[in-house]
Amino acid sequence: MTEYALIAAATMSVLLFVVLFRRATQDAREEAQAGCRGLNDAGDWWEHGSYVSRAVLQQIFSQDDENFLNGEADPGTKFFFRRERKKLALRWIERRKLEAAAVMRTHRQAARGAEDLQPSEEMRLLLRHAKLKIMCEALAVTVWLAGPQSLHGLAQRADEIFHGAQRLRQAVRSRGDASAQQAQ
Amino acid sequence: MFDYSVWAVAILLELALVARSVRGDYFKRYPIFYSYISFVFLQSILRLAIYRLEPDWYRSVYWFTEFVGIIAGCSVVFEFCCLCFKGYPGVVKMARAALLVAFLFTFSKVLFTAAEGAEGWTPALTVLLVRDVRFVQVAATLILVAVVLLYGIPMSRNLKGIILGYGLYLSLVVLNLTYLGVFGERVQFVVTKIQACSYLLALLAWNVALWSYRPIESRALVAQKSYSAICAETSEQLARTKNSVESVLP
Repeated sequence: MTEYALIAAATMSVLLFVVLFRRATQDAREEAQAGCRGLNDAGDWWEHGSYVSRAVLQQIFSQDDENFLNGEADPGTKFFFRRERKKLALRWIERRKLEAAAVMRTHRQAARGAEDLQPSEEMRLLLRHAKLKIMCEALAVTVWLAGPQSLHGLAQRADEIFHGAQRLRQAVRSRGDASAQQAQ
Repeated sequence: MFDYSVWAVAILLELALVARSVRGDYFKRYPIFYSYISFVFLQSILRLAIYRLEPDWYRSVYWFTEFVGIIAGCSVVFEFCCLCFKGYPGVVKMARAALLVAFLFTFSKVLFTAAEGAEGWTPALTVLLVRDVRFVQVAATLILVAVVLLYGIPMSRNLKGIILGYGLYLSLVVLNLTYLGVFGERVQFVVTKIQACSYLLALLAWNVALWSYRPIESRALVAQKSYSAICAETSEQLARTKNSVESVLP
């Protein structure tokens, strides 16, 4: 009975998380879709590869502005800044997802009439697209939870934890070796 | 009373389908599907007659016609595949490969059940064998629908109706037979009723979708570029998007 309750609780938690995430990113999705259809002006400077896009992108995901605001701005401004930055980042990620989906759609439309279609090649492309989509989703979840400017901080922290765990493992192993030598 | 009503309605609906096909000359357009419907129509009449006149024979006649019906059902999926992918040689290759994988995964279960039956066929084992064979059909149908949706293959209302009706019927049959195999005769009463109703639903879907002939509106043009060029272009575009996403990762 306890197992069923735990499974139900875990399922509910996952569902709740998914619902909250979908709701939080709904605006970004709608804006990105509108951008792709050419319904807003964002399409021009948001196109990836352009100088403006690269510069804006680096700024959105960097900690520079955050560090600057930490010293200068009041909590209200900081809150507003983080919210808007998160929106921009999510919108950019959604845009990349839509772009990848459009690439695959165009590919399928072109490939369906090809006589020399290779199923293995199709599967490879499908997997590549799935991998890219998962990457975008993971990025979106991280941005939603921690904000775009925290990505670098999170990576540093993960790196520290990883190295800490490695050091601990080495210490345990060397202690084990020492006690084995003592026993001999 | 319920059984007879379902039987009567099913025979009427089958008769309507066959009559419409004769009147509109749809038999030429969907020969396998209408052959299947004619077979099922004759099978229903035969079963009803045996049930009324020789109840002792009913069980063996039922299982014999059921297995013949399953094989005939495979041909419906085959016809759907042929008509739907006509003019899309590439997609046919893709569908064939996907069907082969699905078949290898699902047919092994049929073989296991059949091997168990070699020691003696119990009613439960027969039910499980029918379920496993039906499951192979469900997998094949799902794979075909997935390929159709993935490649945006245009379908006529007739084809949509054929696959929707058959898919619905198959899914409910697999679900029912699983319950019957697990819980045995305790649930037989409910299961037979649900199965009969699911077949009526399929017949209704077929009648609505196949009332008049609807040709497929547009067919794909032959690809302008070679497949390798299309793939290279897609790979390049995906790589560009991936690089763009990776550039923000620490």
